[in-house]
Amino acid sequence: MLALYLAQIVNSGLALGAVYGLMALGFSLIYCASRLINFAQGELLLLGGLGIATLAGVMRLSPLVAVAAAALAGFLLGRALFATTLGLTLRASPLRQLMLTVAASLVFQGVAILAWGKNPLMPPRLLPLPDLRLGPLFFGRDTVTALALAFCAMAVLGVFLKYSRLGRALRATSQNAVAARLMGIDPVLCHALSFALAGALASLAALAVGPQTGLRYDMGLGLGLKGFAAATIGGYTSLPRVFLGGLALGLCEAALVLFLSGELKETATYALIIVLLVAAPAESEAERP
Amino acid sequence: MAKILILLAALLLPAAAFAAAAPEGDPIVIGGLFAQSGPAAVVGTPSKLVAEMTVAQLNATGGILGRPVKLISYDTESSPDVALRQARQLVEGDKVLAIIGPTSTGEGLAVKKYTEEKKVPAIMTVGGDAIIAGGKFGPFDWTFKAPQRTATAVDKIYEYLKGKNISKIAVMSSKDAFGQDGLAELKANAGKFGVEILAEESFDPKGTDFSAQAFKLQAAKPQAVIVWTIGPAGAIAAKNFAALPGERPLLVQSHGQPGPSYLELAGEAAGGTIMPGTKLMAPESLPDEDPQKIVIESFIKAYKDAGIQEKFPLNTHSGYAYDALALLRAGLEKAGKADPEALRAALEKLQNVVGVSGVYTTSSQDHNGLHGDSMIMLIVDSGRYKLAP
Repeated sequence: MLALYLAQIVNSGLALGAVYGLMALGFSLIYCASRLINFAQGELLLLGGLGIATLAGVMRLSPLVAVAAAALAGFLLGRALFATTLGLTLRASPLRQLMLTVAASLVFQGVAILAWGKNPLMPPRLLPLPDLRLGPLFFGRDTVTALALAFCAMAVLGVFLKYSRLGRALRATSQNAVAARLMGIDPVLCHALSFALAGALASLAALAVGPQTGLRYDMGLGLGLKGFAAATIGGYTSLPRVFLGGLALGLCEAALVLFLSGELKETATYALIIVLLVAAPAESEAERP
Repeated sequence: MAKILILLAALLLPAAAFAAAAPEGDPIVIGGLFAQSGPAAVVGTPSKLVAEMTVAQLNATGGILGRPVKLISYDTESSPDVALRQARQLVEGDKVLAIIGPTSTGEGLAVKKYTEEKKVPAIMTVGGDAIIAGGKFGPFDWTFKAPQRTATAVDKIYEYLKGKNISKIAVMSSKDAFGQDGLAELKANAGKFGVEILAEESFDPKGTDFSAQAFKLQAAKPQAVIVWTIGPAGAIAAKNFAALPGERPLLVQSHGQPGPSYLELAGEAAGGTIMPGTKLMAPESLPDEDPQKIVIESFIKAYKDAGIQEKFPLNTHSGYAYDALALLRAGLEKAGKADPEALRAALEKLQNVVGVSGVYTTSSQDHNGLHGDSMIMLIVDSGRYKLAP
């Protein structure tokens, strides 16, 4: 019986955890590049997902095309978000920039309501992955899809950051913005790139979460906050750790839902986050992002 | 008598557009409360369109008591508070004679308390029985309900399950008034049919994932699971059940689900799920002697002609607003004058008013007037609703 419960926790926990992980990666990228928390991250997921769902309604998308289209749509959305908020206020105080992302998130929500209405939309499953059984563990197709998308996205992102010129520039900026600029790296380009990449990640997360729960205009904030929490647990600096933070959060949430009740899901999850953040060993000065 | 009333009902429709005298005099003002946004909007928005269509038909065929009918309607946003505020506006601001709607049971309960106090007849299009149950829910002298009672749907489900030799079930209900109403009726009537409820779970109707609840219910090994909710949550529950590994129980939905949006949202997961619904969902299965047949066929035609079908394909709720207005018309004609007290008295003495959802015969105790024979059991088969075998 307990084994069944554990299998269920792993199955539903990883399905959402992978989504939180992708969101957390987006938060980390933007935070590292511009020391900013992007509160519109959840809405990037929402609009990216809605856009792809609409596109899929108009034409047949093969799985690869769907992933590419989602990444591209998210990339453009993230870039547009940057162009309309942070890009115009590069020298403004961080608080003002933060408020801009909050305002942008609500505006994006309004756009979603205007364009797609208030009823939830159930996007089609664009990646036809099968259910998977591994011994006592069972992974539903949604879980498999979410994990596959997340790991692929993380691998591509890792390679990009490690080996490409632009990726190296992004890393340099996040390590020391002043030194990077002295080396001829354009910081604005890096900021814009981090937003665009975060948008692409959010949009891919939408491909994973959309067929699971549907897309509704008000879902962005909840998912965004979970991603933020996961990124904080993961510590912002290392991509794998940030992603693991997301998976851990998803698993904790699934366990809480199963053993307590669905009603207390958010309360219990955030109570746990408080405990984690208070009790976790303080990071040393060097580790601090 | 029945024949005359069928004719009367047919009169409502333009298909039978007799050369009626144009209505004249002051309009009879009716208030409409419809959830045009929020979780109940899938039901509320088309209800409003149907109400407008029906009012236009009424006015085209001579109005009621020779007077034109004017409908003033507001969006309740699926919220009891907003619904109550709009009801106040209708009664105190717009001075309506009667109200039709609101859409959800929670809204209905909020509005009912007020309309009972103000002595305004309200013909509600809500699913739950609480509004006309009396007892702890307060008197219901001025409140009527067009859709079938929850108890009627519950009996229909239990009868069907009994016929299939299914006696061990589990129940998953939403935490709103509709879900709680269903849970109470399911529990109250289980004994009567020899059904045993092995486990029950509840969920937030605005939630997006109920796989934990589904998993726990499956673990109790019931033969069937009854999901009692309205709106998208039912489709999400169906998906969550379909995603479970191992042997899955038969999934039964409430009479609030039948409609294209359930099929669309649940996709493949909807296949094989069963639910009670109005005859509107399978008109081709009706025998010719069914008095509802002509009403339903003309309704479907009018629904298509009015262009509502394109935006909101027919569902089990589509007829409720029409029925509310049919009841209102029958009540006013019986009363002979547009007076709230006379209308109230007439509304609880209606006989054989043929509507889309059934043939209504009300009494002072029964402010709904429909019974099990007005419902059919449906099964989803290759993306369509069919009469369940």
